[in-house]
Amino acid sequence: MGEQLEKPEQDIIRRFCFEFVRRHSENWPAEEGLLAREFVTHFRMPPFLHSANLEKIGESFGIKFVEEKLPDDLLGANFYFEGKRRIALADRLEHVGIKEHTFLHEIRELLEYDFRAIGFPTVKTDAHELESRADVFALSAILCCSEKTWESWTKSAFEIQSSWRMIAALILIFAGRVIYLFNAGYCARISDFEDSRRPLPPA
Amino acid sequence: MESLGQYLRRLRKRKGLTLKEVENAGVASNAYLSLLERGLRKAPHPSILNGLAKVYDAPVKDLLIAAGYLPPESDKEPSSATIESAFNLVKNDPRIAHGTRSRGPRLSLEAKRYIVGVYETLTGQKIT
Repeated sequence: MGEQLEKPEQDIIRRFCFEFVRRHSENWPAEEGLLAREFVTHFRMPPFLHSANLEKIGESFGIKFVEEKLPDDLLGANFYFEGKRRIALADRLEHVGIKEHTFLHEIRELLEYDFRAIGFPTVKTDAHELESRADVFALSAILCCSEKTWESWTKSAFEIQSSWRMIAALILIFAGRVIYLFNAGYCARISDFEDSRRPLPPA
Repeated sequence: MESLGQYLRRLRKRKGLTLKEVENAGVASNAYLSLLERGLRKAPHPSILNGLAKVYDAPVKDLLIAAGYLPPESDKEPSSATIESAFNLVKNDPRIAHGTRSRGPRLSLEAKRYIVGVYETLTGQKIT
C-alpha cells in the first residue's frame, strides 16, 4: 500500500492527499477534524466562506463548480473522471451557510477518491459512513476557517479601554460565535431534518 | 427547423437523384413527390416513407421523426428501466467516481437520470 506514496503528483488535491497520508498513515484513518484543519491551512481558505466565492475557490483547486437545477432529493453532487473534478449544487439552496457546507461536503467526497486511488481509503464500501464523515469534515472546516478571526476579534475587544464597551463587544462576539456555531451545526444536519419531513423516493 | 419536404429534397439531392428517377423506383409519383417536397401535401403514409428511406439510404426512423410519427430523439425520455440499467453501468464504471448529498438513503429516479446525464457529458459516451 505504502509504495504507491512514492509517486510525485502534479494535481494539487492529489498532492495534498499524498502529504496528508504520509504524515498520518500510522494512525489511519485520521480524524475528520484533523483533515479539515490541515485542508483549511494548506489551501488558505478564507475565514468566512461565502457562496459567491465558491466558484473561485473551486477553480483554485481545479474543481469545476456549478449551481444548477438538481432533482428535488439532491442538495449537491460530485464527479471525478480522468483527473477532472466537478461539483454541482442545487440552485434552490437558500438557507444561510448551506451552500458552503454542501460544497465542503462534496470536496471531502472528492478527497476520498484520491485517498482510495493512493491506497488509503478512510471508509470501506459504506457510502453512509462517507456521508457522515463528509458532514463532520465540512462542519470542522467551516469552524476552523473562522477560528482565528473570532480569536482576533476577542483579543481586540480586550484592548478596548472603556470597560462597558469592552463587555458589550465581548457579548456581541460571543453571541455571534454561538449563532454561527448553531447555524453551522444546523447546515450539517439539514438533510436529516428534511428527511423526516419528506417521503423517501420509491426503491 | 427543417420541414419534411426540405429534408426529403436534401436526401434526394445528396443521392443525386431526379424526381423522375425516384418515381422509377416505384415509391410514389413524380408529381406527388414534388408536392411533398414543396410542403403542399401532408405527411405521407409510413410505408411511403419506408420506401423513400430505402431509395435515399437514410434511416427510416429519421424520416418518421421528420414526418411527426415519432417524437424527436431529444424529446424522448428514456424509460425508468433504461435509467436504472444505465445508472448501474455508471456505478460499475471504474473510470468515474461520483457522490451526492441527498435527502434519504435512496436516490430518486430523477437523481439517477441526472447522474447518468453528467456521466454521458463527461465521458462523451451515450448509454441511454
